[in-house]
Amino acid sequence: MSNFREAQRQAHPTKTNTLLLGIMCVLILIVIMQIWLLTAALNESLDGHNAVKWPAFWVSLLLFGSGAALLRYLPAPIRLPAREVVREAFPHAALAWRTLGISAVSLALAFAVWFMWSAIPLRLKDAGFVFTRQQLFWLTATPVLLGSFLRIPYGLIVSTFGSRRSYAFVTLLLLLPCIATGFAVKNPTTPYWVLLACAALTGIAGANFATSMGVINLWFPKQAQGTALGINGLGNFGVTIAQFTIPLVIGFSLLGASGGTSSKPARSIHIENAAFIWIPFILTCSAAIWFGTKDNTAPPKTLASQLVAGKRLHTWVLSFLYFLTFGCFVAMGASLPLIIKEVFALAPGGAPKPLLFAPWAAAIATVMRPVGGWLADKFGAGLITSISIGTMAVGGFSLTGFLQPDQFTGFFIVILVICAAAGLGNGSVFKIIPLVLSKEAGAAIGIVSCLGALGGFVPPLLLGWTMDHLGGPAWAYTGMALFALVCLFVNIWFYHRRSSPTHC
Amino acid sequence: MNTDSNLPEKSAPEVDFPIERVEAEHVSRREFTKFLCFVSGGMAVGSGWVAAKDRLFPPHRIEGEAFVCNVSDVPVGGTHPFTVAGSKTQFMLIHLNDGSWRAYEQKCTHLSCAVFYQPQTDKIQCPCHNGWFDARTGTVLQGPPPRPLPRLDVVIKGEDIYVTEPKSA
Repeated sequence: MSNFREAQRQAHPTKTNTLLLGIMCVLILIVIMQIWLLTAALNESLDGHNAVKWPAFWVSLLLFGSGAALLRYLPAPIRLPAREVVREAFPHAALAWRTLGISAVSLALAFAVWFMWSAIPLRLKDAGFVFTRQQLFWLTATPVLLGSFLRIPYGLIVSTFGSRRSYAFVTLLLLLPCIATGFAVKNPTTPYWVLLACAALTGIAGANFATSMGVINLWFPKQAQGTALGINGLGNFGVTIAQFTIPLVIGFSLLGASGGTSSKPARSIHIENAAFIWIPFILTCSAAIWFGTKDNTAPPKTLASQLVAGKRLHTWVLSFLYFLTFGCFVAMGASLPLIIKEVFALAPGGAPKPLLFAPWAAAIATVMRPVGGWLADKFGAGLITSISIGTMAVGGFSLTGFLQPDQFTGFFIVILVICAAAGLGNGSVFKIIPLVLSKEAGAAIGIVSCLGALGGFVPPLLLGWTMDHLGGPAWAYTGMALFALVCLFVNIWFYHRRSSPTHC
Repeated sequence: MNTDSNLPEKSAPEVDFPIERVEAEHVSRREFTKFLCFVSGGMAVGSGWVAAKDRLFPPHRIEGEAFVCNVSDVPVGGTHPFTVAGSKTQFMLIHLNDGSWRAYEQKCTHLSCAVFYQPQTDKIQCPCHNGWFDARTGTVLQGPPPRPLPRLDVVIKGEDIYVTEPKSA
C-alpha cells in the first residue's frame, strides 16, 4: 500500500520545483511594487505633497509581510540541518514552572535591594549628610563590586546544599543590609565608613542572581533552559521597580515616630524608608521559597568538581561576551540620567527629564531577555548572540552622530535599540552556558555573571573620564562599539560557525 | 520526501566553502528567494524612512531674521555665500542687475552641484548638467533639475541685510 505522500510525489514529481518557482515570481512582483511605491513616495514628498508617503509605507510593509509569510512554504532543503536539538527528559514540569515564578519575584526583590544604594546617595544631602562627589560615587559603586565577586560562591552553593535551602537562606540574608542601611542613614551624624560598610553589605543582594540562575538551571532541561533562564531574568525589573518606588517612599514616613529627620521643618524626607520598605517583602519571599519549592533530587555535586569550571576556556569566552551585553545594560541604566542631563542640557525646549526617560532603557533590556532566550531555543544561540552584538556595534557607532543638543529623539531611539539588543544577548548567552559547560553549569553561571557584572562597573567610569577629559561621551561610545566588534568575531568563531565543535 | 537524493555526504565546511568554481558561484533558488525577501524588507524600511524622516529630523527653519552682511559688501551683479546658524546648508545672496536682492540655496535640486549666478544673462546656472534657473523666482528654465531652487526672503534694514523663511504662498 502506498502512503499518501508517496502517491503525491509520483503524481507530481516536480511539485517542489513548481512551488519554489511560484514563490520566486510572487516575490519578484512584490519587490517591483515596493520599488514603485518607494520612488513615488520619494518624488511626491520632495515636491512637498505629503499625502502619499504614509499610505505607501503601510502598503509596502504589508507587501513585505506577505512576502515573508510566503517563505513558510519553501520546500525543505535536501541536506540535513547541521544542528541537532538536544532533548532531555522533563519530569517535574509543574513544580519547575512554579519554582520559576517564585524565583523571578525573589530575584526582582534582590535587584531592588541591590539598587537602593544607587538612589540613596542622590538624597543624602537632603537628609543632612555632607559628602564630596567622590565619596558619593564610591557609595554607588561598592555594591556593584561586591555583588560581582560574591556571585562565584553564590553560584556554587546551589549544587552543594540544594536549591530550596540555599535560595531561601540568601533571600533571608537580605534583611541584614536593609536593617543596617536603614538605621545608618536615619542619623545624619553617622560617619562615612559606616555608610560605606552598609553599601558593601548591600553587595550580597547582587549575588542572589547567581543562586537564582543556578536553581533554574537545576530544574529545567536543556531544550527549555533558554526560555526559563530568560524569564528568570525578568527579575531585572527589580531595578525598574526600585527606580520608580524609592523616590516615592522617601517622601513620607513609614514607621511613625521612629522615622524621619527633623533638621528641615518645612519638608522632611525619610530616606531610611528606601531600605526598610523591602523588609516585609523579604520575609514573604523567603517563606514562599521555603514552603513553595523543593530541593532537587539530583545528587549533590562536590565543590571540587564545580571549581573545574574556572579552568575551561568557554567560561572565559562567555564571560567576555556577557561583559559586553550585561555591562552595557547596567551602564545604560546607571549612567543614562547623567548623560541626558549633561549632553542635552541645552536642548531647544528645555532639557528632557532624565528620570522620565532613563528607566525605559533598563526596562526594555529586561523585557528582551526572555525573548532572547526563547529565540535562542528556536533558532540557535550563536545566531541570536551574533545579531544582538552586531546591533550593539552598529548602534554604538551611530550614537556618536546624535550628540548635538537638538538630537535627543534620535539619541534616545538608538539607546533603546542598543538596550534591546543587549537584553537579547543576555538571554542567548545564558542559553549557551549550560549547553557548552553541562557538568559545571552552576559554577560557570556564577563566574560568567560575576565578570559580567564587573562589565557594569567599567562603562560609567569610562563615560565619566571622557566627559571630563574629552568634553563628551562620543569616544566612550565608539570604544564600546569597537569592543562589540571584537566580541562579535569571538562569538562567530566559537558559537556561530557551523564547523565549530561548540556550535550552538 | 528527499530520500532518493543521490548527493554524496559532505562535511559542513565543504558545503560552506566549495572548491569548484561552479559550486562556489552557485546561488540556489532558496538563497535567491531569501535574498528577495531581504530586499523587500529593505524597501519597506526605505519607505518608512521617507515617511518618518521629516517627523524625526525636521528640516531646519530659521527663527525670525538672520543677519547676512552689509549692503556695501555685495556690488550689483555680485553674490555672497552664507550659512545660517544651526544648519550646514550653503546659501547664496544675489544682488540682481536691477538692484533687488534674492537669496537661494546653492545646492542644485538635480544632484546637489553648486550653482552660480551669471550677471550677463541674469540667470542662475548649474554647470554640472547644464541646468538653468530664473534668477528672480528660482524656477527651472532648462535642464534636468526637477524642482525650483529653495529660496529665503530678503529683508533690508538700513545697511544690514537679513534673511527669513519665506511666507508660504
